[in-house]
Amino acid sequence: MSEIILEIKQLSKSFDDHRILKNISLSVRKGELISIIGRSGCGKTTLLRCINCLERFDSGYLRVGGIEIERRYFQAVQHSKGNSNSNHFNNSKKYKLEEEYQEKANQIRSRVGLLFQNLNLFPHLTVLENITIAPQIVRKEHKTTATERAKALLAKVGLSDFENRYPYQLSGGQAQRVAIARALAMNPELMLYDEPTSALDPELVGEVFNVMQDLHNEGMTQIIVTHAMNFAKSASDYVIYLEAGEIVEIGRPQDLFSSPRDARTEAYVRLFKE
Amino acid sequence: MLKIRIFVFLSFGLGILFGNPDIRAQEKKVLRWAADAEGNAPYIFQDPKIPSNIIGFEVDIVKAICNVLKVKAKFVQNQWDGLIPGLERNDYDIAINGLEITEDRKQVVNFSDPYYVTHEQLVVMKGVDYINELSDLVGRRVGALKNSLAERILRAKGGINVITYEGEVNAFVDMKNGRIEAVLVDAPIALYFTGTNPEYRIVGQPIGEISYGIALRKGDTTLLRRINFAIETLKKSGKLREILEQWKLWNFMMSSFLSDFSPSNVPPRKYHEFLEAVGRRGDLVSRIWLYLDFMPLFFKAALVTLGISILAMLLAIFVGLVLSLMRVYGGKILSWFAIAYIEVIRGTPLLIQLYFIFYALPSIGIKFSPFIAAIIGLGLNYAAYEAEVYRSGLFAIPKGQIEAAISLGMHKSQAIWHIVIPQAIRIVIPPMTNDFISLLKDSSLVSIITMIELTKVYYQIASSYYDYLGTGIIVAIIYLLLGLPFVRLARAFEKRLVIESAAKRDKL
Repeated sequence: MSEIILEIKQLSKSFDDHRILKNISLSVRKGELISIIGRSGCGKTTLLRCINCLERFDSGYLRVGGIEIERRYFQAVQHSKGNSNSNHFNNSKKYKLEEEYQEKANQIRSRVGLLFQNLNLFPHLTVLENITIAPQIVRKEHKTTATERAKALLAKVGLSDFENRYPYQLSGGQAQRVAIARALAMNPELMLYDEPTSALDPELVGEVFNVMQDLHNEGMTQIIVTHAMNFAKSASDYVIYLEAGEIVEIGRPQDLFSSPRDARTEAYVRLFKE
Repeated sequence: MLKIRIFVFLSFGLGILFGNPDIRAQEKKVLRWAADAEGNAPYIFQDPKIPSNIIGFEVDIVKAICNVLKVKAKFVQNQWDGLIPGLERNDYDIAINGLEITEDRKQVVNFSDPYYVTHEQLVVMKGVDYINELSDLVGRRVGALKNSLAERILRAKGGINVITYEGEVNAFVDMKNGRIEAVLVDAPIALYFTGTNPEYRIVGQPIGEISYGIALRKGDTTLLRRINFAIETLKKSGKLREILEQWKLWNFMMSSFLSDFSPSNVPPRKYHEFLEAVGRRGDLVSRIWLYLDFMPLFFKAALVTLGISILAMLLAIFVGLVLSLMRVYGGKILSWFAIAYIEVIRGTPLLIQLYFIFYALPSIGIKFSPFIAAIIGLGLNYAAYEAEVYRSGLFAIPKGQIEAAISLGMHKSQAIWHIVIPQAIRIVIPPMTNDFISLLKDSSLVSIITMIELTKVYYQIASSYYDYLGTGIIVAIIYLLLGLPFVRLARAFEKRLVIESAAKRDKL
């Protein structure tokens, strides 16, 4: 059994008074490909954003590789109420906690690649520059090193001829592959994909999934939020069904899709059978 | 991180602003004297023959005084209204420019003994025969210079509709256009204006009495004694009389003031030179030659205008960027500060801000040269507008761009700097160009803080030659030409930068 690279315990997140994630616990081993499925608004995207620390979860425990973040409920209250509530905490202690959090969040982000639903390539940079900018800025890589690696990554995602194009000159599938290459350039230990194919024309979906499949074969750990049940079924090691901010069921794809244990999972899975 | 960065930027910026070395340092043996060269013949005005030269009977008097005191004269141009405040700013040591010795002024400055005594004089259009004395003015509209003895005399008379003007040429032009029926001005002005403009004429007896004195700071009593000594010397030696006679200004009042009733023996050479030179402007051809004479002056002034505008714009861009970043990303306190700054600056007139920076700040020990004050005044003012432009530019960049950068491991500040700002620049270039063009035009306001730039030179030349139309058109064309290259440049830049249009980006 390989090591557990991502560990989540009792993670909760609310927006205003609406609880988006309720006590999520989950662990992912190195090299696994996990699919998260569920209805729109079930919290899938928020979960990915919490793992990447783009969203600050209210309470719970998150570990990526050796970086741990633990937050308790009152810290979230502190944060949302700002300066008004200094009884529990004096400001300097609060500041120190905040510093610590930011530092860890940054470390986690540099180990986790996140692909967005709507890509967010940098429109003012060429394909090559899109890939090299983060290594140059964040890791202070030399331009030639970064460029060399970017070219290798572009070859890997099958876009060698596109390095001097601008994002608007790419098709959706090409853009998504560039985005994957851009994330890979940071040598992530974990890749997160937020509905990577939902904005693509059906004939382009395959090229993106192929890249993910290749990465899986190379041993990359990946979590995919998706509505593409066929891919979830055929490629994942595990599938997670999320509903109303809770994990309803985790299982091997063949089990979860053919013989779900929970009625809610069954109801959802049935939608795709017709 | 970002907050710290902004703070560093800000303190660096303030360091530049306030680190200006004190320009008060003055050499000994130099007498800095101030006047407004804006065309008050015969006082102090531009030489019609060599427009970059300053001449006038007061120039001659200052030179004579400096000769007596064995010091070097250094001329400092200053707006007439600001001559006394400028003394307090310590921009110069003495002010001389037809400053009438009044009780009000004596509260603030010391005056030397009078160097010239004269009177007020009525001027009307040729053919107006029903005005000959003060009492003929009752019920009529009459012009006078603001805050002058003439104004006080007219008001004291009662029943006269007094219209006041900043400059006498405006009053005379208004009279020509029929808006007023007579003008009451200091006799030298009446003499020189009617001498070069035959459609006007002097009427009636001398009215009132005015004494001109040299103004000094209250504390400078030693200098006051020396100046008085020099004036006394000039009076005794006959040098003062000689100067006044050359300018055709020797009058009966001076005779009795100096108890010197001997007949005049010095020809009014400088008066005639003036008439001759100004008379040149008659026909179109000689007028064009005259305009060509002005070109070096206009060119120099245009460079000053351009220099001030560009430097002020750079300051505005820098401060504006910092303000917009503070406002958008800076958290509660910084954003509150930015909003307060922007609202205060946009809510108060630029003119007041310039006055404040130039005349009020020295009283708390912060003193800038006119050039620096102009750049700071314009720059900090436009920074508020730039900040708002940049803010809208920053907002126009989708939030996902920052998130994408952050999820690649960049800090927020790195994401803003490398991802958001380069994209926002494309959006803000057109409005920035507009702002620069307005700044170029607003830079004309800095003439009030003694900067000699394009507008100031226009006033100087126009009022020296009583020609607002021709020179006005020239100056307008120069402003237009100054702005054009920047519009072009911005367009080219914009074109180069907009590799992808917003519409194409939406496609993604």
